[in-house]
Amino acid sequence: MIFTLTIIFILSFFHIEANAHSLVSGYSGFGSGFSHPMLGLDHFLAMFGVGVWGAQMGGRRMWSLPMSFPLIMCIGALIAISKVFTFILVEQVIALSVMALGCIILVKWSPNELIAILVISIFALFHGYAHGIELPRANDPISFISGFVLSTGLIHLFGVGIGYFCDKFYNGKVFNIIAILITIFGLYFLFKIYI
Amino acid sequence: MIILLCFIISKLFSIPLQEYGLFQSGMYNMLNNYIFLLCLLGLSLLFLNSKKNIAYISYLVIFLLVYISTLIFIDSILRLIFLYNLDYLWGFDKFPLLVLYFLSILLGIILWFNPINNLVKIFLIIIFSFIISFHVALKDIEIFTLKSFISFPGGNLLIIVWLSIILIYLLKKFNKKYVHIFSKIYGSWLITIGIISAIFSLLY
Repeated sequence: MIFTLTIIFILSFFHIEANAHSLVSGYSGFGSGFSHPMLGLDHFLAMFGVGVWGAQMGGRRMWSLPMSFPLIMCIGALIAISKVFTFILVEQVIALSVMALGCIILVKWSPNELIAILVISIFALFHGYAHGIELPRANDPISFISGFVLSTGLIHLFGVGIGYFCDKFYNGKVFNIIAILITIFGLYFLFKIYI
Repeated sequence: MIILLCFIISKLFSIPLQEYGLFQSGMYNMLNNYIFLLCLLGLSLLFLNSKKNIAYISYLVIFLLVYISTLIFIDSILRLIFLYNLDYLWGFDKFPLLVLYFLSILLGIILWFNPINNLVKIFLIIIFSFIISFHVALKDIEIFTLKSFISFPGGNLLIIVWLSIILIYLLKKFNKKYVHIFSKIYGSWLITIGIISAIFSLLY
């Protein structure tokens, strides 16, 4: 029974819209904004990585990193919306950010708060820019914004939660497994761009 | 609270004959507005650390006073806006939503500092109530009378009171330390949503 329910639950994530619903596009409103960072594995892993890194360092940095990321992301989105200037190699930097965060967690780098925020700021700018480009295409952009910011924040919190509990099991070795997985995915994204 | 919930659900599913369902549309107006719902969660986070019930009652009274008086004096407020050409600043069609975005930014900033001071909270509830009431009044299609108040603004009010009670009640169950950290993080989300939404709706 539990197995069947689990399968149904997992399958429910892979639904597609009926073709008759012509108004439902890839960028409709709150729902698609919310699912965008969740289903886009590159965004998901980068934000998850930020949360895990914050939890790994502990102290004030545990919440200052997830707090700063959306704010800097906002600047990136504004640059994209206002078209002040165009970022180049956006996809590449996003893939690199995933890989870099994996490596950072793996080597347990623990800089001071300002440097940590500076590092994630660079990543956040590009993630925000990528979201900002998609905004004008949404049917209901304001709901789309609320959705993706909320979802981004929740992924951070998920990362912080996982990172916080990882520390308590197997002497923190779970961190290494997570870090290696994130790095491999980062490499895969980078590889995918050039293939 | 359960009776209130039953009443809201029954109202949502029944539109009486000879009416335009303004009460229901008022309720949907609040439930469909994501920015407003996020702001309400922010407000609930701010009011969590009040211990006495009398404080909550006083906040509710202040909220109602400002809410009703803004609705009554909406014409004078609009006249002032037209007098100083504030409508040219953003475009009048964008006014009802832009005020919500600014509320979201303000709430986010205040959540960062998370003040315990009662005066700050009262100031915030006045601003919150004024903006919500202004937003409701600009969307209302009736001239303000006691009956119209029960219709569209009443539906809005019911959802505001119900949701804030539930959110405060639920959030009180969590550890204060975690709620405090969460409110700081949540503040940054509100600021982000407010800024991007405001700039986007001004540009497009």
